[in-house]
Amino acid sequence: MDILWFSINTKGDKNMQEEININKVKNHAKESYDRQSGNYKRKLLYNLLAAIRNNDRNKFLNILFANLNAMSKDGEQKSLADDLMTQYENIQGPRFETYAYAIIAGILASDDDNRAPQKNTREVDKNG
Amino acid sequence: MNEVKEQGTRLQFSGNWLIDAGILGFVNLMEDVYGWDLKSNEWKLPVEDVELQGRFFFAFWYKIISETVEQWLNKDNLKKKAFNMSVKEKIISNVLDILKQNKDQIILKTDFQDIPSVKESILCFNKKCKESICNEFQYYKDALNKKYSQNKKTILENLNSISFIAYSEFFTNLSIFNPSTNKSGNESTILELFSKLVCHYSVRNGSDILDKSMNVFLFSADDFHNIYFGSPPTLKKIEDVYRINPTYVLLSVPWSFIKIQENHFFHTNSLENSYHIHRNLQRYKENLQTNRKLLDITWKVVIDFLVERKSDFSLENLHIIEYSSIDPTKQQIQNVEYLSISKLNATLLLDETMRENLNKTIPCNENRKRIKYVWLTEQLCNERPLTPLIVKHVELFIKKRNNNKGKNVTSTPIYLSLGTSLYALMIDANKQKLSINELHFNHDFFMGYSELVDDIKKDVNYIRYASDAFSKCITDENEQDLYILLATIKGNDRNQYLNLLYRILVTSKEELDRKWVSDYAFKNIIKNKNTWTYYGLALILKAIKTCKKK
Repeated sequence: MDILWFSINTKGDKNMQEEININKVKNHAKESYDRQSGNYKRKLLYNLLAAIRNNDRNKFLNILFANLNAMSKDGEQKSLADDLMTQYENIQGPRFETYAYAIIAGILASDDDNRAPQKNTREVDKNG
Repeated sequence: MNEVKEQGTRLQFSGNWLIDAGILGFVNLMEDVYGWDLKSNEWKLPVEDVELQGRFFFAFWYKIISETVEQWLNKDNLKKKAFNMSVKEKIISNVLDILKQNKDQIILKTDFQDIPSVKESILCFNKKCKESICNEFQYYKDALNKKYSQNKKTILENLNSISFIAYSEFFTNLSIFNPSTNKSGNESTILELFSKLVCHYSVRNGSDILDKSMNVFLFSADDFHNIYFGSPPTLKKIEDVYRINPTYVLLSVPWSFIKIQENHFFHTNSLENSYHIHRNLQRYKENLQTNRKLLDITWKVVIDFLVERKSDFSLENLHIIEYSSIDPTKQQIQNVEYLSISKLNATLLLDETMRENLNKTIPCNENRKRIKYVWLTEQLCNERPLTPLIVKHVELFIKKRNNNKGKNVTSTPIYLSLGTSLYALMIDANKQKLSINELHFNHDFFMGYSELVDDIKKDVNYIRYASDAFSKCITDENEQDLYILLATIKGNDRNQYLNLLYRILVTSKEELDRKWVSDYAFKNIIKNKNTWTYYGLALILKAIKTCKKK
């Protein structure tokens, strides 16, 4: 009976851990691309989607890393890169799809550059 | 021992549906004929009570005869020349009036403790019936159709050749209703046989076997497959177990069914519940003319009643026994189905919002230009998945709409029922979630799945927002993409679905809406490998419905 409970719990833990990882990746992707121009992101997303469509993991990561590298090296971009580094082994086969779309969802959820200043002014107002 | 016997003879359900069907039928029969109320004291049923025996004798024959008379009068007895709707109605009402008057008189006169006098009354009633029918049809003698005895005899000729006007689909296997027995002049023999059946349980040549001849739901004695493990039951054994006269019960089975498109018997765990459900449905049936509407309200009646009585437990134990008809030539019962409601489905049906949305018929298939409707509650009770039906429903909707647009032909358009579809999809999705990584007898099972209904409602509300937002992201150019999305769902291709979905979102200019949809897709499709199809389909339904209106 103990063994049975144990096996169920580990399965649950594994799923939970994976969900946390996916959420983390998505959030970091969002933070990385906040305050980037809409057109720039759109172009990137098209390229990434084309790579996922063909299930081409190498191309996907290639485009993404190249892009992250080209951007200024803030903490946020670094954290996404770190995530991908740690999850590199995990992002394979069927899991690749999940992580890749999580990144896409994160990029899409990020704010465009024309919105970001408004947010800042509001914060300044509040503080003031 | 005597005490036990007395207590045991009080009418109550036994748990065996066949016996219970008989008990309900018996109650209905006695109420119809003598107006006994369920709460009255007559329902103590000593096995050897002579008065009750007499009353059952008369009630049974009265019911069979009057039903047969009604059935015969509704046949096309008259040829087209003489046929006139008003003539037919007049004849029917005349005969039925006479029968009612006779019945009341006979019941007043008869002493039910004296079996020979009861037999006399039955004969007298039968004779009166024959006379009144003869009188009504004598005038139209030349215009009568040959509709009886395999289209060889007219109604008058048939009346002359038989002894009792008694025909029952249910008891064609019983020797007393056999055409070879039911010949003119045989009246007293038939009543003698019937008396032996009721008092001495003599079904066939003195044997008291309980098989197909007593009830069409059973096999005939020769066909009992488990003969090596146990012989078919006998009426005596039934009496020992249930402590009631089994013939009263088994001969009353037909009157426990109510015809709503097909014949249904609603079996619950108490006689009172089943009885009231039957009564309520009967009342609705008399008031409503169309059968279609009745089908819709049936569940409302059944479940509302059970909820009113706070008997959740009853709904979980509701069984529905259903048959379409009895084939008289093969003497075989047709399309029998035994439906039961599981604990899980009972939880769903007890919720009002859920019931309202599921208690609908939706068009699903088209066969030879006739649209076939499916009743979702029935499918749910049958433990069938609802999603395939919703997919078919959506496809039919698209097909009909495109047909109408292209050729300008106005075939009847169908309405895509969004709310119903969303609920159906979410029910399937949440049910499937329950089964993943879970044991059957888990915590939820014992708590009556308290969170399931809330989860489904939450999902539906969330989807309403998301699908609203998605339909705003769709332009006329994207319309074709919707059909491709539908195809990817059918093909269970998550990658293609998400790819196309995000392509649509990236091109969309509605920033807020696309974030909503993206968020929804992340939570329910990207992170959810097992049940993504339900959420995927739910997302695009509204867009499919509204895309041509723009």
